[in-house]
Amino acid sequence: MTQISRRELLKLLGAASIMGGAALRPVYGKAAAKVVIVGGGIGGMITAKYLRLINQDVHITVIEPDSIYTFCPGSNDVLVGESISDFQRTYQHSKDRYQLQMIADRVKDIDFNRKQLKTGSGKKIAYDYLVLSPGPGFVFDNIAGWSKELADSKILHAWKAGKQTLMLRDQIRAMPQGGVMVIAPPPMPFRCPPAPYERASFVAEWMAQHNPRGKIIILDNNPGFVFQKQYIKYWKQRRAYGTDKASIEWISSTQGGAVTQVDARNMTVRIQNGETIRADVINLIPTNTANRLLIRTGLTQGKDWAAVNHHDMSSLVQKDVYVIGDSADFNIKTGYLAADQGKVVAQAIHARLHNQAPGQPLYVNDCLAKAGKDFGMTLTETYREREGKLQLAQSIQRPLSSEPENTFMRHFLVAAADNWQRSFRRDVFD
Amino acid sequence: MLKILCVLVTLWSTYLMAESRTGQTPPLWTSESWAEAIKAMPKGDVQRGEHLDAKAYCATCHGDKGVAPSRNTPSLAGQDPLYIYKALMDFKSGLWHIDNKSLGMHALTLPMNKQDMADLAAFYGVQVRPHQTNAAAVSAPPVMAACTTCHPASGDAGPAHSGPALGGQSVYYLVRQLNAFKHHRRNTDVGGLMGSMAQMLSDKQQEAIAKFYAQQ
Repeated sequence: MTQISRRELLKLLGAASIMGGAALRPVYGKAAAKVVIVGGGIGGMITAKYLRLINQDVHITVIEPDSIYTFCPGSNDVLVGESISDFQRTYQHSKDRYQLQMIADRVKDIDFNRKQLKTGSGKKIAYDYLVLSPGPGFVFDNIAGWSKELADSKILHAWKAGKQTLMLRDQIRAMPQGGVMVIAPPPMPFRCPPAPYERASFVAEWMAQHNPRGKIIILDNNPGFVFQKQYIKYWKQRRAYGTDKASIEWISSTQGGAVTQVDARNMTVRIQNGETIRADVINLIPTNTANRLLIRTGLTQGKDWAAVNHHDMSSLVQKDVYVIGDSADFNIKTGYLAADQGKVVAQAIHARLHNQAPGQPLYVNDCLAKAGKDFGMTLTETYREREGKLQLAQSIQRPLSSEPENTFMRHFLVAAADNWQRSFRRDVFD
Repeated sequence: MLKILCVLVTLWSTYLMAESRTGQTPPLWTSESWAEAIKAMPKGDVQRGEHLDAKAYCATCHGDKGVAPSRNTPSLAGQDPLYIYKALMDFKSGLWHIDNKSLGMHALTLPMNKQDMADLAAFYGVQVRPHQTNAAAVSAPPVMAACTTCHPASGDAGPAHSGPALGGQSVYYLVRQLNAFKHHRRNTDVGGLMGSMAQMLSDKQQEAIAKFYAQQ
């Protein structure tokens, strides 16, 4: 038996939780490998934790400039009143418990030949194995009039949870009665596909109470979206969707809904069909690509995403480099998947250190979205790599759009989503 | 016995006063409020309950006809309908919140009205309670004497709805509930009685009691 089975891993996890806050003390050998992880988000922290759980003889370094991490999954709740602190974690616990070296810095450059990173403060960090999980890169210049500076101050995206989430919440609260909010999803693939529509749905629910004449217009770069039938059905029931009293309107890309231009001074956007729309809050979600670090260092080979071997998430461009999360060439981009990829990479590195085969990975993605306090939805997908190709093995959606209305399921899936978020945050950081 | 109980109830009230509770916490049950609730309970319909059992996914965790397929959830078959009715109300109000696992039941009871709850209670009430075959193999621990007033050693529900049937439940489930009562994470008991009783039990005693009832 060359690999750690899922059962063994669970046993290890059980042992770790019994130990409570006790640290897993590594005993480094002379030849202990250096694993350097770039990015202290879901993918990075999961890789660090699971690698330590199965291997105490490896140096693990995580490079992350921020001292507080804010979870993106679930953060739409913050826009309508949940406390952001529920979604935030520091790195201290993981550092102590999993004996990680945390470096608060930004990676500037990678020398793949010398297997060395250069950081913003000029530090050089050597690696034997490099795991890149820096999150997506955002493109601003494909919308005329928009910039990173504007995205940080007035025309927000809130697509990386944290400061912007709170700023957008305050913009929504400050909207005049009967005001208009624009939400503009980028073209697929982007981080968390149901999230723009969930955001619209949440704000509409909030408006029903606080700004009953307020309106949300979704200006889409896509012809359709995940859970579309369920959302539209719900909006028809609750938000007068499709009538002149609708509090949500959706203009698809086929109707020319994609935003081409923004005027931050007059608060207008221009869309592909030539229409100009005035709004009180303009929430543009930028086109996602691989993180700029990966583009700069050639890992994307001029394309949008970093090409990886789906067998173990290793880069197809550079040796001993793994790319996970939103930057990797995977058609779905979610935190759930990033966590799964992190576990695959932890297993793959461990296997290489012991001259073992990494095994056949099974990737699981779960999208848990809500339309409101009484309507939850789930989409579970499994992927397998076969003959070098990633294949969707199974896809289960609940509730099915064809399913008769079941208020119990709707309610239960809200609780399931909330409980999943909580458990997930613990899996990554506890 | 009555004397001890009176002391315990007094102690419990002191605890309640010491504990600062926010206005959001649903009110705790008193004998008076519970008597009122029983009076207001609609008459349950077994057939409607059966329909609801399927529609609300109850069987997913509580099993076919209310016999739980795992140790995590209680069997509901043959349970005192009044207890089921109350449990559903307590989940809906949020009073029954041991930890976030309780949120599943909370979500599922949100769409229910009192009639739905009474119907489900009636349906489970007429099902056959699960029995273990080797009931005689376990003897009652001495500490259990106090329990049997409301939870008879037969495992059936107590007289005059004084306590739910515990027979055939999993040891795991019973210990979890005893612990929840002990640490005041489950406060659904009328007059705080279970909370004060559970206070007196050690882990070993809890286990012994749970093992006994599980075999009935």
